[in-house]
Amino acid sequence: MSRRWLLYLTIVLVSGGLPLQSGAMSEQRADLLNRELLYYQYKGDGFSAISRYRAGLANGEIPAGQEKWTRLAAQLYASWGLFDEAKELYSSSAAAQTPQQRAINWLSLGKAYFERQHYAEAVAAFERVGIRQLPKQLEYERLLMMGVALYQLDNFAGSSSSLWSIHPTSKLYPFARINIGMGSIRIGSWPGGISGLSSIKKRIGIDVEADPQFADRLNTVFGYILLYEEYSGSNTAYGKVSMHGFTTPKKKGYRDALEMLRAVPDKGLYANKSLLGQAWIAIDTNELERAREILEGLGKKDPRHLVVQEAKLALPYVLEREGDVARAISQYRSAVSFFENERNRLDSLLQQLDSGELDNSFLTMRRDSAAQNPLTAYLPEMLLAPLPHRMLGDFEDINRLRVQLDEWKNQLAGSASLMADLSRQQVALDDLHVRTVKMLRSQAGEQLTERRRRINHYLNQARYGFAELYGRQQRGGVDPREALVAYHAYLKEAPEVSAEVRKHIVGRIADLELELGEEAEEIVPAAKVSGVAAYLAELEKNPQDAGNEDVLYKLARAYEQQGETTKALDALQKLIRRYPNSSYVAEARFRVAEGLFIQQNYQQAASTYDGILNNKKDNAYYYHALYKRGWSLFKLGRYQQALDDFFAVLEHYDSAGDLNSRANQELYADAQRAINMCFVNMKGPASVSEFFARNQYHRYIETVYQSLADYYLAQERFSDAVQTWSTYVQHYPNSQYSPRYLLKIVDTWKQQGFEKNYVAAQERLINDYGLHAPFWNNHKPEQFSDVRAALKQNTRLLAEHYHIKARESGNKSDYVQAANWYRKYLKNYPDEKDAAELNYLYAEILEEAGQYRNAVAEYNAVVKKYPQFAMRADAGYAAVLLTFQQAESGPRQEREQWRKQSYETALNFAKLFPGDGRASDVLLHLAEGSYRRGEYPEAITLARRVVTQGSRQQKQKALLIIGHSQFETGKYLSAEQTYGTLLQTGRVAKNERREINKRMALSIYRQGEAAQKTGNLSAAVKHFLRVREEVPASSIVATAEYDAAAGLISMKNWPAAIEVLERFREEQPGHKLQHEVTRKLALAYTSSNEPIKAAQEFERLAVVESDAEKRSAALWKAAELYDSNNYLDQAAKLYKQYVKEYPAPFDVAMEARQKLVALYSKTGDDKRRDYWRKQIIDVDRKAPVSNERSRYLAMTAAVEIADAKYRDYQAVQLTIPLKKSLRKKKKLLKQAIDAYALVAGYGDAATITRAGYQIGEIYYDFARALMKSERPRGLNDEELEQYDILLEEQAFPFEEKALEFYRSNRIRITDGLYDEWIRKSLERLAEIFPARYSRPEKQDAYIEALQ
Amino acid sequence: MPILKHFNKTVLFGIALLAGCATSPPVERGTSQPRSSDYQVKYHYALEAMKQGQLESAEPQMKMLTREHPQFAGPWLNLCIIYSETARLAEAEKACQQALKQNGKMNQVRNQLGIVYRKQGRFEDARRIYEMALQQNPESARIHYNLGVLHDLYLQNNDLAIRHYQRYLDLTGNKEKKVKRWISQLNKELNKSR
Repeated sequence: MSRRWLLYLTIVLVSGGLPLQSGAMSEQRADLLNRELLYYQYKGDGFSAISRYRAGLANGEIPAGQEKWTRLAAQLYASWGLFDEAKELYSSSAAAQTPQQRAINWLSLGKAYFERQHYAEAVAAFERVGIRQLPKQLEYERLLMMGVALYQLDNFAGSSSSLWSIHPTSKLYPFARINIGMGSIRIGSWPGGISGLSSIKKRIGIDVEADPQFADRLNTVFGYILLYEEYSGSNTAYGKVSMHGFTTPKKKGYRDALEMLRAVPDKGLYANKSLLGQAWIAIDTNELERAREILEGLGKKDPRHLVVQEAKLALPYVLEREGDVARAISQYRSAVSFFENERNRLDSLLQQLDSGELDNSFLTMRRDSAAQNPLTAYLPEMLLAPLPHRMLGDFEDINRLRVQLDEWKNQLAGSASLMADLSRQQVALDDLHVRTVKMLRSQAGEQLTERRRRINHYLNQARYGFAELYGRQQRGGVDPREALVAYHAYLKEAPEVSAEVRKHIVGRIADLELELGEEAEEIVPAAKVSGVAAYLAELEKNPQDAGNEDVLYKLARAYEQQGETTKALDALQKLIRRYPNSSYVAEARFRVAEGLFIQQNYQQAASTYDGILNNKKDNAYYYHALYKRGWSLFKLGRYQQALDDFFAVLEHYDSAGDLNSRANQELYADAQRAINMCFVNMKGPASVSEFFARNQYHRYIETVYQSLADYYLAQERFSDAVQTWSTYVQHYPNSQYSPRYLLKIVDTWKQQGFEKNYVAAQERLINDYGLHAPFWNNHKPEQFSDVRAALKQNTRLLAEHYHIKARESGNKSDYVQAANWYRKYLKNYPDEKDAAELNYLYAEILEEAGQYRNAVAEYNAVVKKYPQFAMRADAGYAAVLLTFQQAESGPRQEREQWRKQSYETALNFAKLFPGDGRASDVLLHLAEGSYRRGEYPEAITLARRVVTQGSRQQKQKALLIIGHSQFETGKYLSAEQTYGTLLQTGRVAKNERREINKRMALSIYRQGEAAQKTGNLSAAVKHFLRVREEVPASSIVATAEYDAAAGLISMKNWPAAIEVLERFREEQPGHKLQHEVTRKLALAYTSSNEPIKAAQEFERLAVVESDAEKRSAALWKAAELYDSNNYLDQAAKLYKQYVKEYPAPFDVAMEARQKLVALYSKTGDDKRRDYWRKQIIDVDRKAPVSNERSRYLAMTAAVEIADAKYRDYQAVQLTIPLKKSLRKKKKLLKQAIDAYALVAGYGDAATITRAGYQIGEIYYDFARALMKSERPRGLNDEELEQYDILLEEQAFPFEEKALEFYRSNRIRITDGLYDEWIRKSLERLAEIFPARYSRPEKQDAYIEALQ
Repeated sequence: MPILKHFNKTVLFGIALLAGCATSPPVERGTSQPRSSDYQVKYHYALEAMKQGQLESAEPQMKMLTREHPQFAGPWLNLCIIYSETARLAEAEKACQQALKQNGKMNQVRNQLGIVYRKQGRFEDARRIYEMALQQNPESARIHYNLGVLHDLYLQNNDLAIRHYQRYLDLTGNKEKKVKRWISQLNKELNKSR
């Protein structure tokens, strides 16, 4: 049995994996370098470890020949796979050591071999370990490894004996027992294997729980063993198992097996195997559905997996057992092609392997590339086998080492001894490389060949199953030729075919070939034995032999087979003639008729068939003849008669129930086809209805109508098909088929795209067979689920149809239709799943039709009625939108009402769908509305809700509304905070940001204003200043700054005010308040005692002030400030500017001139000073109206000029030559007198007395100067006396002149005048003319009296 | 109420103690009469300085004396003289007024004040004070002399000047030729101008 074999293979596969080992490692000694080396080793970097060791050896770090290091080196070499070196080191070390040490060395070497899976060498090393030289634990380890190694070498007996030596108390014992059990199974000793494994089974969970795969594997193996035992009968192994504690009745084995297999997790190494086992159990316990599920699941997994492949074969088997032959056949077929494919793939892979093409891919194989290549897909799996796996590891190491050696050689080119060493290593490695490749090839080949064998086996199993099924179900859609091919292939390629099976198959092949006739030859050319010659010979031998009827018959068949139809007919007619009573006659007649028919001699054929039909009915050819006569009549165009024959045929087979053979089935079907063709050739459905009106074949009515319709459909004569169904419906409206035919009409029109017809048909269907149609009085709806479904669906479709149409056409009638259909649907199917959707659409069509109130009602109904509806929120939102829309753009008189409704609807929406993003939109819309209408608190409340639940953008909008509302309601602080938040959240559009900034700035500014109103000036200033800090770009920064400055000025905080003002000047160039700022700065600087800066400000004002008066005042102020702070140049400049620019008013300009005079006096610039004095005098003189002050100034200037002239004059001494100095002094005398005359001209008493005195002084001075003048030299006393007299004479008139002026001053006393000049004049008089004018009073120098 | 009495006693005793602490020795009060010897000595020294023309040294002493006894006219007048001589005419006027206030009969003061006014150019004031002095003592030759100078040099009323010079000559026995010469000179000027 094939399945038994399959199971066995699976068990071997599972148990044949890598034997289990304990993971115990011997402890390593601690030492720094030791650790370093070990570190490299554990990192897997053996090369570095060895390099480090050799370096240590070379530079003396490691003492040569010391035991500890030798052993370590040996370990390193061994673990790196350099066994020869390791062995050498171990041996050299061993020689000098104790037997125990030697034993450990051999153990270490063996272990290294073992770990590198060099089992033979490992065993050899282990055997060198002396008896009782190792501690117990190590000894058990050795025994386990040796057992496993021997197992791997297929030495199960040796393995077993080694493993049995491990004491049951050792923790290694379970591993030992498992391997013993495995070994037993491998050699076919089931009882031994099972007993071993079951004893371990009890210890699972105690010792080996840490390895889940161990448990999985054990469960899998054990499950399979139990399964196998159960399958092959309890007599064998399972009975023995019972002795070991499994006292279970029959079939319990399946349960136990199932339990174990189920314990294996769905994912993991053993999942597939476990599942397959479960499937087999399900098959055996007849839970076929379960089996099928598992197998189908497995079938979807990696198709290269062995278990999956077996599942592919098992699946059709299950289907077959389930009776689903069609699927079974198709699964078998696909299995066949799958396995053929895989086998081909393996063949080409093997070829590549042999030719060495794959050598290079060995290295890359572990990475997935090989698996992705369909050609090499089996290679990675091959690696899982122990031996190739190990070899590949070696191979990789060897290659890596070779590469690294090359590099090393380059680096160490200098050291000769190392180079030699390396070269030696290299040669050895190269050799090893070649050998390993060869071994890998052969190992891989073996694995792949085994795999190919498995696949080949599966392939043939599939072929066999496929071919067999054909025999059981001829009409299963299988081409008999395929089956034939499959049988042949099986016989040719199946490895072992029992004689019994072969006999069965050969019989089947013969049957198929007969059935196929000549075709078979094309498929399988087989020698055909021709009997014609033999029969003819026989006839000739015994022409009259009674047995010749037999010979004739066979001869006819032989001719027939050879295609000699005429000869065959001859033979048959001969037979009929000669042996009319022969049992062959009926057949012969039939064959003759058939021949005639084939020769298209229908008339004769019909009469020949008549001959058969006239005989009795149990004639085996009767109905075939009837059928063929029908065809003959058909060919002759006699359809009504043909119909009678065909219906008779049908009637016969139906009443006899004789439709089991394929031939009969075909005949029956053909008769039906013929009937159909008759009606087609007549008048179609009209003929059908006529026919059934006359005949009683009522059981065929539907078949006939349907066949006819089908025929028309196949011919694409859709109207005729529809007509056919329609005819039927007309005749049999209450038939259960009628609504279904209508459905077909609907479908047909739909498929053909005749929309009008389609819609009409739909409407006819619903109108005639709708839920309330009379039809349902006689029929049970539950039997018409298809119709009911169609009704429902078409109602919906109609609604949708009209909906679309309405949208396209915009016709009101279409809207009405659509709405009606929706309404109908909702009325009839309120609880349907799609009712919600339809209701939604209904609402939509109402909206589209402009029935807004109804639409809103329906949208709301959707929300209310269908809490589970996915678009519920959309409906709610649609209602909201609609109300919004209407509130905004609906008829004017309704808007307010809509607005109220929109408010309710929207709030309700937000309440119902708080998580919906649109809820926030809706709230936002409301909030915006409220804001627009000026209902700010409401707007804020609404927007706040958005802030808590909306998206970032919505939040932003909401914040904007809140901010604006707060702003509008004068809550500027809140507004500012809101705007702040808004700006902080970022991503505000540019234009929006501008607006926000503006508002924010205004908010801050308004706070300042408010503070100002309450008199909190410092707070106000802070707010004003904040505007610039918070919103530097705002346009009101200037105003705010200005107001801040004004506030600061009010508070007399000059430095701060100055700072703000200066900033304003800098930051707001061109601002209209700049002038005001300058004014304020002037004030501030003045007030904070910074006169020069103040002056600069005034100077600015002098330019910018609009009012000339203010300009001049500023200029004056600036000049004054410079003047008083000794910035004289500046002052002079500005005074001059003043005089120039503002000659009027006259008096101020005059003062400016006077200032200039004072200024230049201070600087000592006499020239300029006098210029301005003269200016004063000139201007005053020319002034149209006299002005006292001006006159005073002019007068003063005149006095000063005169005084100066006087001083100049006085300074001139009369020296020799007298004439010259005299002339000079005289000239100056005149000028001085003129100057004083000018002073006197001002007519002022004081100036007159002054001028008078001064003129007196001038003359007096001249007189005295003459007297004091330098005398000419060389004069004797007499001459000098003469000269003096002369001088006196000259001087006298001057003295007289002086006296005259002094006297005239004196006289002025009588006018009530007395001043300094008069007093001085009196003094001069007393001095010059004491006899008259020096008359002092009599007075006391002191008084003695006290009281 | 023995207890209260005792209490009052205690309080009173306390106050008495406090009062005792605050007492200071009696202040010696000045008498209205100067100790003639001391003041007159000072005055004498001040006058000595004036006599020697040491006005700078005399001034503070006189000032002191006016402060010490402002009721005496003498120091005021001397102070007036010092101010007048040192051209501090406003101070001089004030000092003279003080002197006049203390002793209205002292015509020396009027004489000095007339000079101070003249120096200030207040010729009418000077004339008036001289005339008041003449009312006080019409026979004061010096006042006539000074009034004569005032009319002569300043008010330029030669008639009156001649009349007062003449009265001066009369009172002093017509022996001052200088004044006689002035009168004849003034008469000449009168004739010239008529």
